[in-house]
Amino acid sequence: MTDPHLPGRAAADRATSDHAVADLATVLDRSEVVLAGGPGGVGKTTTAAARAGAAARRGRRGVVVTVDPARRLADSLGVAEVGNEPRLVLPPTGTSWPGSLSALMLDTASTFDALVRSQSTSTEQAEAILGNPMYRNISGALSGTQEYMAVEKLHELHRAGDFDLVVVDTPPSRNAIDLLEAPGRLVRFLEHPIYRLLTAPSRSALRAFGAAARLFLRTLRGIAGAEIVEDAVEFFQAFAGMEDGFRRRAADVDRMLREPSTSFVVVSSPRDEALREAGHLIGELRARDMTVDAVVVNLVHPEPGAVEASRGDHGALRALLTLHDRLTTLALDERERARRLVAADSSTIVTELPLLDHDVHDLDGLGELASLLVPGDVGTEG
Amino acid sequence: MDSIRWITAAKVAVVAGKGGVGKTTLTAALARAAADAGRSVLVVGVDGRPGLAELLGGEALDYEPQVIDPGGTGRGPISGRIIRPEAALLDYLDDHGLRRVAKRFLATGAVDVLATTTPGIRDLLVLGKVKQLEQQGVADLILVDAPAAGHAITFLHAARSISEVVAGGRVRQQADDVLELLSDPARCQVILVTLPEETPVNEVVEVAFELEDRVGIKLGPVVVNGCWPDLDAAPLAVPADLLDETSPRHLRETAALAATRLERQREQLRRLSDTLPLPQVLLPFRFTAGLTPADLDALAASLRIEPVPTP
Repeated sequence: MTDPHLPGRAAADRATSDHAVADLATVLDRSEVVLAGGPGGVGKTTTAAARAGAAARRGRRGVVVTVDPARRLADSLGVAEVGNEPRLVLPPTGTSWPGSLSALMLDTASTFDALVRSQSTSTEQAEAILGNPMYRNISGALSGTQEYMAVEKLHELHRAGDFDLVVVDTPPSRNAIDLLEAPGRLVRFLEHPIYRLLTAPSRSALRAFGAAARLFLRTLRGIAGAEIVEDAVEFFQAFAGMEDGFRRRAADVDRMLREPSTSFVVVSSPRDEALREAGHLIGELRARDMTVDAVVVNLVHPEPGAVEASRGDHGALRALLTLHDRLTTLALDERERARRLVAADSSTIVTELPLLDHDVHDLDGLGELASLLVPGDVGTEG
Repeated sequence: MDSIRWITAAKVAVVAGKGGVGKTTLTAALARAAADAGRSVLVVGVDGRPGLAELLGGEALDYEPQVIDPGGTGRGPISGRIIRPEAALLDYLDDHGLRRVAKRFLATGAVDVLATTTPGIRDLLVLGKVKQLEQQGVADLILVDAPAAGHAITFLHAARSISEVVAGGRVRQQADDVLELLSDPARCQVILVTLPEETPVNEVVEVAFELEDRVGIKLGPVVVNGCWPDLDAAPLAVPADLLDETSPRHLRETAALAATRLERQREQLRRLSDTLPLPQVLLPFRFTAGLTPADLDALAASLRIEPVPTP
């Protein structure tokens, strides 16, 4: 039996104004791609999964691409192992939804392998690249690769047409801008002057780069170790002829990210340090002419109801009243700070999610979050 | 144990943990506590995350070291800087008589190529600079606010992985030197921070074992941030009849919320002790959404180590 007056419930009732409800539902209804960004530790993955779940309840075929989910959440979504094929998530027992929900945990290395195969001019070229030690470094560990592969996967899922909505939980990088810039980064890398230097076909060409270049290469060998420089030369040579393909692909991805059917949702907590990072991200997105469609402020302390109790002189009662006052101050402080985040642009939808009295790591919990995000779409009894 | 003994157990302390658990807050509180005990402190940021110097009452940091708090009678000075790989590389080349190529390295973007040929090189450059500062003895305590999330493992593991794949050259030498620093408990400790919640506890346990097994690093105490004050003796002890008689529903809700929260907290702290045999330090939850230097003083004052939990 649910007590409608429990603090969590009361806050939930207030958490989403009717205006915001309609709008977030609209964002989910009209979008084909939803990207989530924000600081670490604010529940990005959980709320991303909840958004895909909410879309499923609204009759859409949703898929959530997660990058580094907490283990229990991954287990409950059925994606405990990385794998590049989406897996269908069944609704919690006793319920059903008119749409569908699938989930996928990104396998960065194999996504990159598939990309190389699709862009290479021959099987030999693909194998030469895939077998190169430097390529293995790049596909496994280069910063930005995870972001790049997340958008690559997103692009692939979006284009395949099996899903109405692809929700992507960005990697836990400080700056989700990496995600937008990642496709261009490899292209820039392939166009790097050093790339041309290393792939110079003849000694005369190398000579044309001058003594400074040769000194530079020698220094590079001295610093990084000769074998690593040889790997690099081989790697760049193997890539010859593929730059165009990668450039076109990066342009395709960039176009997809800028389509009106692509939405950006920034997730934050109501704490000052998180809000500052979220604000920075919003500013960076706007500077790139990207629209922030919605902000989800997660983990907001429920505001306790007013108390006009007699301030009795029982010590413990006084302590309880003090706690009550401090929680009230905290809840108001959080809301005030969250409001300031988007004051500059009132067209951004702001949805607050209350701090729940339990961790969300199973489908029931995700269902609860989904109905807090978009109330009114309760799954039908199965 | 009082705070100063464990905080200054090593010359360098790296504060690591998942995003949002309070790394920067803890770094600032440790700096305050050490300075209050008369030690000179250098705080080091490794990415652009703001807030570290501001919490200590200073201005935003840059590569050049700056004084955040000059200290005073019995109080040590706190200075701070951000170490970026590019700038650290320039310093390194300069120090090794390679000033002439240094400029060219930057102009051509060679750092990108180096970083690609040798993953982890950026992290190594940063830690190499920290090692240099440690050897120069620039402060009694160097506190490093490590990068967030899984990157902390990559960050600390960089030296070992480079040492394993690179046969020779200066990079290899640097990696070996950094590894020596990281694996010497008298010179370096890693302080992990987490929250008394299920997922952060799971993650800190994973990180702890990875750091000990893969990097061979000495872990300091694990700091649990955001602990509600133990209210056993206070609000929860209001006799039921008094509560019924004197307070409306909303106050009972607060009592229920506190009871739930404390129960979860105790359960998670117990789970942490059971799975991670490290001493615990509890940092109190501050009832504010934006910490001020005054909050920081209170946090610094509470950095006492609890007795080692029974495994």
